[in-house]
Amino acid sequence: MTITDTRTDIAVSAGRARRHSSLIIATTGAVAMTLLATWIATGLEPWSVVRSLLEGAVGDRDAIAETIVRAAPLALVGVGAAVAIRGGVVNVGGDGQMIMGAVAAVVVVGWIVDGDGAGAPTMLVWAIALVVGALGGAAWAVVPAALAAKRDVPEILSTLLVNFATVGLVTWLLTKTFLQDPDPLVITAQGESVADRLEFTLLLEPTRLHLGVAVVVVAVVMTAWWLRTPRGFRLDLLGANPSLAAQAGMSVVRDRAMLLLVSAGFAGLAGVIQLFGISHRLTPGLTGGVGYTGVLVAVLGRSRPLATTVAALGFAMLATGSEQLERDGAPREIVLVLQAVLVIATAIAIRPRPAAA
Amino acid sequence: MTEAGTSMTLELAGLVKRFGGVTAVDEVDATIHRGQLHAIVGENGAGKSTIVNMVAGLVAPDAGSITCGDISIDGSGRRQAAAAGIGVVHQHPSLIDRMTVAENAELGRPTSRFRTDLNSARSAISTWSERTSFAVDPDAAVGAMSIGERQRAEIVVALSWGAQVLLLDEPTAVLSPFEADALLDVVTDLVANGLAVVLVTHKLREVERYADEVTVLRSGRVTATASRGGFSRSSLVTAMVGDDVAARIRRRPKIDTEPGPVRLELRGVEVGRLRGIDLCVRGGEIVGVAGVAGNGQRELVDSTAGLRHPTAGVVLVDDVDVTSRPADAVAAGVAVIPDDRDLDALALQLPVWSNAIVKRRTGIGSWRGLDRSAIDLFTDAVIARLGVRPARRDALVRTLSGGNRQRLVIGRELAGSPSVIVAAEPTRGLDPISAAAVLDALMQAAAAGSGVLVVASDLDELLEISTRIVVLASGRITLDIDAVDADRATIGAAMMAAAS
Amino acid sequence: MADLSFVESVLAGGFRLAVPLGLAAIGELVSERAGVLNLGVEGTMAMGAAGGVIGAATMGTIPGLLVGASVGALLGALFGFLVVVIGADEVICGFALALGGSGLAIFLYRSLYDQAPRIDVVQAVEIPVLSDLPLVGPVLFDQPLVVWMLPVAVAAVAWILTRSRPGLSVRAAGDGPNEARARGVDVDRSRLGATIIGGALAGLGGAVLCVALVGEFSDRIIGGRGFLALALVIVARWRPWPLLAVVVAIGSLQALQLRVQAGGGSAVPVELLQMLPFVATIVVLAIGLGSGSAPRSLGRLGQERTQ
Repeated sequence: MTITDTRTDIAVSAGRARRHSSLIIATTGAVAMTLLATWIATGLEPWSVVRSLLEGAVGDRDAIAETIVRAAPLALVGVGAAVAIRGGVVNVGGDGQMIMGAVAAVVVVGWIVDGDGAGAPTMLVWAIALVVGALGGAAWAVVPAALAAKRDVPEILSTLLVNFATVGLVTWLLTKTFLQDPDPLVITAQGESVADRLEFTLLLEPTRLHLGVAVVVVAVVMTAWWLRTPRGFRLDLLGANPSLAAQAGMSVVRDRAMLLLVSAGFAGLAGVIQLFGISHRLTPGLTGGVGYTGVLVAVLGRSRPLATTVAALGFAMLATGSEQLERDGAPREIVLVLQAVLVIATAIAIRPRPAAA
Repeated sequence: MTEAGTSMTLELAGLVKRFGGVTAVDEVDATIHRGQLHAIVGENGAGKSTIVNMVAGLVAPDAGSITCGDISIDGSGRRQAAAAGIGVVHQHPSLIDRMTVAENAELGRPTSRFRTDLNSARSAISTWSERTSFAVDPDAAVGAMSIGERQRAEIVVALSWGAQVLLLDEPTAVLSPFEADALLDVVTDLVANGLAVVLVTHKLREVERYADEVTVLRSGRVTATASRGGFSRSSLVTAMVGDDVAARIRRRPKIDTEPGPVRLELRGVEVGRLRGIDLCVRGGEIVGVAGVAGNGQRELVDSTAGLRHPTAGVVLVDDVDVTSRPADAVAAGVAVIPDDRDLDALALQLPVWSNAIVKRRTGIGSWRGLDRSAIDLFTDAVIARLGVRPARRDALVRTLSGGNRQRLVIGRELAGSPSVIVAAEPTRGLDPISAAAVLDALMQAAAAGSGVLVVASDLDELLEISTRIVVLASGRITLDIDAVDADRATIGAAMMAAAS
Repeated sequence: MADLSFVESVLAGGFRLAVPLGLAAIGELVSERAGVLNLGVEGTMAMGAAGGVIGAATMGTIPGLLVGASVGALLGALFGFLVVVIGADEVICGFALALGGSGLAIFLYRSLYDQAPRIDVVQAVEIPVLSDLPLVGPVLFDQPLVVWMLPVAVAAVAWILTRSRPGLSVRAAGDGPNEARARGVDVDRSRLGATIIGGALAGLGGAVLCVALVGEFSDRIIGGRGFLALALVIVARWRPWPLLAVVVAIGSLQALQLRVQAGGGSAVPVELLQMLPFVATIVVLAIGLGSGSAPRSLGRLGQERTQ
């Protein structure tokens, strides 16, 4: 199972939608079947589930803003994952990369604000936080990238292992080290107050819609643009046939490593946005599994940035909706099942059909 | 194991098989008797392999019948045909190389036991190995065997299953002339002892020497049948390809231009199996590399494209060092036509235009986006060069037939007057018209000044187009002479030369 | 229980801890030898755990384990159907199964139980005479009987792969599917069988963990074991007995961590010790064992379909 051979399949199947109609039929059918099965198994009426979900997701202006806010980091991680998948690299370490990006940003911002930079303009601090976050996330993919380049270890495996290892590391960092020290300038897990300037400006009071959303929009648009250039074309070639790409003069191993680092950078960036825009607290549960659902969203969007963003909005609707569901008395994990079923339906719809003789 | 029937005649009646809109086999009749070697000849795409698959039970006919003795073969699987006594040796060796010969023999055997019985497989293999003098070791790992050895092992395995009818699909395609003749001599002995053999081939020499009966196929139909002594080579050719193409083949002119400057040079190259390779290809030359597969051909092609990192030596294109630098090789004008086009030369899931512009470093766009009109222009030229059908830029390559895929590859590679063209098995699996177009294109490119290196296992094809012949054996060049001085005996001997 | 030396107690604990991981891993080994990569082991284990708990709470320990294995087999069949028969991408489906299976397990459990149901953890059975042997005694012969499922499963898989015809077909499906088809082997059926067995063993592993060893189900009970199993199959180069050794080694690492924790702290913080199994696996992969001997068709199901 060498690197250059394996990843061809997912790049190709994730990137091409055969027929839109089959995709829509598959996903609708899948959702209907899931709801039906849930009804049979647990007595939850499908209509009430749907109603709760919709109410929670888009019921009023606050709900819509909340959905958009949730969708932003997910879309960013998803687009990063999508770019990598197009080149044949599957990065499922998003969670670890997000949180390490956030940690790096907090540490650096803490130094700045604590020291001589106390009077630095807020915009600059934010910019630094974003950049450091991206770099921090990328740094967390260096080991998997090296393992792929030197030892042919599939990225999907190494990023996963690093992810699980990160759980322990982060718990330790946030409960035992200086990061839990109640310093008023640093966001802590203990719920200490936060310096206001470290929060992103709200765009629409009293919702939580914040500046970070704009950052995500810019990133997504730029990525969509880049994919239409010759560089983006070469990316598709890399994913479709690495052997041919090598023949055409591309440096396959190096490009794949770069892809992994870039998608990890997107995740790190998303971690910072999540932290400064929504959570405001650095806790081990910061990501909420976005690192994984980001990959799912990329698959649903067939590795296209705009479609991925739409899928992220859909998932965010499910997430916000699921809280209403919980309030109405049903376990919210049904949403995880729905998400998985949607992805499987997509996988069926985009499957490669046997070639011509 | 089968019951020995009194008349183990294999009878094909009115066989028809369609794939999509194409009729691959069109009303074919044939009768094969015990103690006979029956040749089925035709070019690629004539339907020979489809017939083999149907008789072997792997493919169900759309109409017609296949009967062996009194058992009817209906495509329900290999087991039925095997139980009826039909053994098959496919074109590409189909032994699994991570297993031993005995394990391969056990695989798929028509029994319903849960445990494997390697001992009986071993003894059956040893018995037949002796009878054929093929020296096959049942416990040998297939992966360590050469192609010739695998071919022989497969025949022994088929016989060890108790085959009364043996289907051989192009068995000598990958063998040196010497090995090929040795193989067919043994087969003749087996036929004399009562085996029925169906030899599928496109090599007329074999038909002349070994066949008792001949059936000629063209485009799925039987165009001629004959018995020993009742046919000539030219009558076979005409039945195989039709009058016009046959004439065209005869008329192909040899290159007679003076060779130009050296375009490709390998100096002391060592990589994989290759040792001490010194080779020059001048503009206007077509150097044909002959040799049994597995003697370094892959490494030769890859090094020239800069894809392998030689442990010693350099690769120069127009005096520019491109060793292990594929980007430089492309920039220097190296065109590569790999032997496995689906795997190495095409992105099947991408459209034609994507595959066409793969090697373009510039001219396809800028930071503003892809330049569609420039791309369309270029793609049309690529399509037109050898005539890809259908001529649609947006068609996904996997919808194209093998012949059209190769036309696309060559159309792309020959764009922009390459300095060097390296072609590996350029006509493999192609119908005769596409094959002729490909060879014509190579010759035209040489005439225009490119240096052409062709690696192929089909000696006749090499002799037809090459100006010089080089033989690879055990990773070394054992012969390097002008084509006019080359004959099969000399080449065959060079192929068998052991490493010195 | 007799006084155990440090090594003995770590190994004994390690063997016990290795069982859920090992069962899932040997199941995945079977699937991968047939050429099918199943990333969904984590989800299958979770579903097996939930099913096992539900079964054990209503019917008893053994039925609980059976339910877990059956649920796993069903999921394995579903996965096999999607990937082998329908041709959906195995990476996508496996990943979705991992997440969806975990979610479904939590959903079912929380729908049925507000409070954890009462399940009795299995006790160790001390085998007379044998359990007094040094080292081997306490490690092998003073354990809950369920731990024997692991070595038995490994031995069964090893035998079946080398000495049985279905096993030969599975290996053929993994190492040379096109050649196998040409010889008349039903490659799809072999692969489907392999994913069902893989799923059953993963489900059993999850059930053993929750029903027999821990006694309850929680959101993160599987904790990455499913994914770890995937990596360990590679480390063991797809061979059953080396896999047993690797799994017990990892289990012993975990036992070591727990001992240290219980013993009242150490120089290394407890949370970092949790990283140990994953970091150890990464290190082993970095040293460069594994990949070369993968079944040939692993990771290339899509190519088989399109060429």
